[in-house]
Amino acid sequence: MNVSRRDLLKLAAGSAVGILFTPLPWKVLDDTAIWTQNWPWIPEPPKGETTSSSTTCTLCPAGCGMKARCVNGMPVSLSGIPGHPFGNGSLCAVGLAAHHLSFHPLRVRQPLHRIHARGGINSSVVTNEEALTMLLLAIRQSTGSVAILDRRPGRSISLAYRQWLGRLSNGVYLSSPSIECQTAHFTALNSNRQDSLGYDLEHARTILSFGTPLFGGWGSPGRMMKIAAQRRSSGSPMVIQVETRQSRTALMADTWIPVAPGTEGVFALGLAYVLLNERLIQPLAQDLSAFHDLAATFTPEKVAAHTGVSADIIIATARRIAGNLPAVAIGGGDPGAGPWSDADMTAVASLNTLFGAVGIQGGLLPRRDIPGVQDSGQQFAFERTLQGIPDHSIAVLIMDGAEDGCLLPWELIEPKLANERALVVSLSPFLAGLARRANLIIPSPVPLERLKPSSTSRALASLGVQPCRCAMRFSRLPLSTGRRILSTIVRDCLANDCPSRGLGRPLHACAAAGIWDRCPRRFWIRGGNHQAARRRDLHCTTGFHL
Amino acid sequence: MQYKGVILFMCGLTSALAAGWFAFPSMLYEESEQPLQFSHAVHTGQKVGLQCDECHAFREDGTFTGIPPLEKCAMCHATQVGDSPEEKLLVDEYVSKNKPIPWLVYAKQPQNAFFAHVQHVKLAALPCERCHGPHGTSDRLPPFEKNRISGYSRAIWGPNISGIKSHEWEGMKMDDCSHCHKAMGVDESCIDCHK
Repeated sequence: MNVSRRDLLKLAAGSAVGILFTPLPWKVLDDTAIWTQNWPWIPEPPKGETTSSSTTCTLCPAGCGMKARCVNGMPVSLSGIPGHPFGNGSLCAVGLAAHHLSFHPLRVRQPLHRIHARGGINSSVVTNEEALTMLLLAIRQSTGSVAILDRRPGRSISLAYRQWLGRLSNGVYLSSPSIECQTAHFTALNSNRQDSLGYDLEHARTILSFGTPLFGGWGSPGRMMKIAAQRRSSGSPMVIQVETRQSRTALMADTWIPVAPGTEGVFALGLAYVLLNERLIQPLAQDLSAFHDLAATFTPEKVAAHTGVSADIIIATARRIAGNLPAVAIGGGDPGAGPWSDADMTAVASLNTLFGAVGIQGGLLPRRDIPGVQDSGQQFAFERTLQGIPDHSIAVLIMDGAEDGCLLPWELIEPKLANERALVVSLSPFLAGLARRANLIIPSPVPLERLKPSSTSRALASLGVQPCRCAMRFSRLPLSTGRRILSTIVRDCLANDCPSRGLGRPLHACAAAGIWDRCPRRFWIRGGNHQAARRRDLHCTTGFHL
Repeated sequence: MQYKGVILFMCGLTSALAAGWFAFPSMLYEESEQPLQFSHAVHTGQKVGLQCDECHAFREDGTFTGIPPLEKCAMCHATQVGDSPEEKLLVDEYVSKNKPIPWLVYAKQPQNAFFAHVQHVKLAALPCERCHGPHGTSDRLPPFEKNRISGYSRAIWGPNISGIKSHEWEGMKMDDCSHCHKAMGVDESCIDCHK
C-alpha cells in the first residue's frame, strides 16, 4: 500500500480532531498556567506551621498596626489590624510588601568601602574587622566632631546613640527634621512646653494645611482615610489647603488657596495679622507682644503682593477659621521636597498658638513618650539639628539608616563635613539614598528583621496612645552588623578606658545575651524541591557574613 | 483502495482519543506513597472517638493548624501502641527521633491562594466533608498523585481527568470555590483569596 502525502495529512487530521475531544489539550493548558507559578526563582516559604503575629510597622514613623501571617516564623503576608489607633486596619503599599524588602536587589550584604573619585566611585567589599578598624581609627584620630545623624529620634537605639556621644568630648547627636512632627515640635517650642505634641485631627473642626499631603501619604494612611470618610459623612473637619499646585489633597480640600512657591510662611503671617488685628483669637496666657510686632508688618496687602493671593481671601480665610475652632495648622509641605526653613515653620506653628489649639481637644495634645527615653540631658548628648552646627565641623559622620519619610538632601549635609577626608558611614540595609554618598556602608536589617525594633518615634503625629513595642523576632537574621560594630566600639572603648564608656544598657544587654553572635543557618527556601533546597541552604550562609 | 482516506482519518482519531483519555492521565500523574500509613477510621471511629478538630485544630486567633505536628501524635504514641508495622515505624522513625513526618498534603494550594478554614468551618458551618469528602473515615491513605506539570496533587483537579465531578467535594480549584460561593449566595472578590 502506497502512503501518500495526502494519507498522512488525513491521519494527522484525524488525530487533531480526536485530541480535541480528549482532556489532554485543556488539562495541559491549565497545568501549564499553574506551572508558571512554580518557577524556581519565585521565592517560596518553607513548609511549616502557619502562625500570625501582631506588631507595629516601623518603616516610617506613622507606626501602623500590622498583622503578619508567618510560615515557620517567616512572614509571608502582611495586613493591617482593624481598629488599631494608627492605621485603622490599613497599610500603605510599601507596608503591605515590607516583608519583601529583605530580598531587595539593592540590599547591602557586606560592608562596602566606597571611594568617591573624580572619575567615578571605586567600591570594594571589606570585612567587618576592616570596617571596624577604619571607623575606630577615624574616631580616634578625628580632629573635628564625631556625629551620628539619627533619622528617627526617640527609639531605644537613639538613646544609646545619645548616651555614647554624651561621653565623647566631641560627640554630636544630630536629628533630621521630620515633616510630620515639625509643626508640632515648633508649636511646643512656641508654647514653652517640654513634652511632645500630637495632632487631634479627629476632633478638629478646621485643618489648615500648608502644602502637607494630608490625603496623599501623610501620616498613617488608615487614619487619614478614616478622617476623609468622616468628612464625607459629617463635613468636619473643614480642610483648607494652602499649596502652590492643585495636588490630590488640594482637590479633596474644602478650599484650595494657591500661593506662590516659597511664600507659605508669609501667608501664615498674613493670617496672623488679621487674627491679631481683628481680635479674632482667644485671650492667651502668653505674652505675644514680640510676635504681634512681627506680624504687624505683614498686612494683607503686602502679603497679597508676595503670595499672589488677594487680600480679601486672606482676610476671609482668617475669619472663616476663627469662626470654626478648634483649628490646627500643619506645615511642612511635601516630604519629598525637603525640610522647611525654621522661619517658615515658626510662622505656621505660631498660628496654632493663636488658634489656642495647644492642649485642647481638636488641637494639639501631649503625647505619651516611651518610658525611659525621657532624660535630663545631663549624661546624654543634646539633640541638635544640621542647621545648628557650624560648617566644616564633622570629622566622622555616622548616618543611621532609619527613614523618617522626609527627603534630606545631601547638599544640607555636605557643608558640615570637615574636609574631603571626613569619614561618612552609613548604617543602611540598601545601597540607596544617602548611603550612596557614604565612604563606608555597614549593612543593617530592614525593619521586620530587627530583633527588637524600637517603638514608633515621637515624630508620630498622633495622640497619647502608647505605641506598642514590636519586640518580635520575625526572621532568623541576626541583629545588624551595624549594631555589632557599635558594640565592638563600646568594648574597645571600655578596654582603652575611653570616655565613651557606657554606650547604654540596651546594647550591653544585647551583647551579654550573645545576640550578636548568632549566625543564621537557614533563611529562605527557594524552588519547588524543598528538601534539596533545605539541604543546600543549610550549607550556605544567607549573605550576611558575620 | 476506496476508503483508505476514511480509515486513516479514523485511525488517527481513535489513537488520539485513546492517548488523550487513557495514556495521558497515567503519564501526567506520578504516584507516591505516604511516608506512613494512617487510618482516619480508627481515630475517628468508636475505638478512639476523636473529632476532626481535636487534631486539626484552630488556634485562639482563629488560624488553622492544618496537619498536626508530631507532638500531637506523640501525646498518645510516645511509646508503641499495638504491634502493627506502621505503629513501629511511627515510634521508631519519627517520635523517638523527634523528626517531623513529611506528609504529602493532598489539599496543598499554591502560595498565592489564601484559604481561611475558620470562616468556612465556624462562620459558614460547613462540615469538613464538604471539601475533603470521606477522607476523615478512610482506612488507608491513598497514594499521592503528583501532577508532573503543575506539581500539585490530583485531589486539586479531581479524580476524573475530564474534570466532571461525581461528588460535590471533588476538586479544590478556584472554579470549585467560586461555584460553591455562587450557590451559597456569598460575594467574592479576587483579594479574598489572593492577598
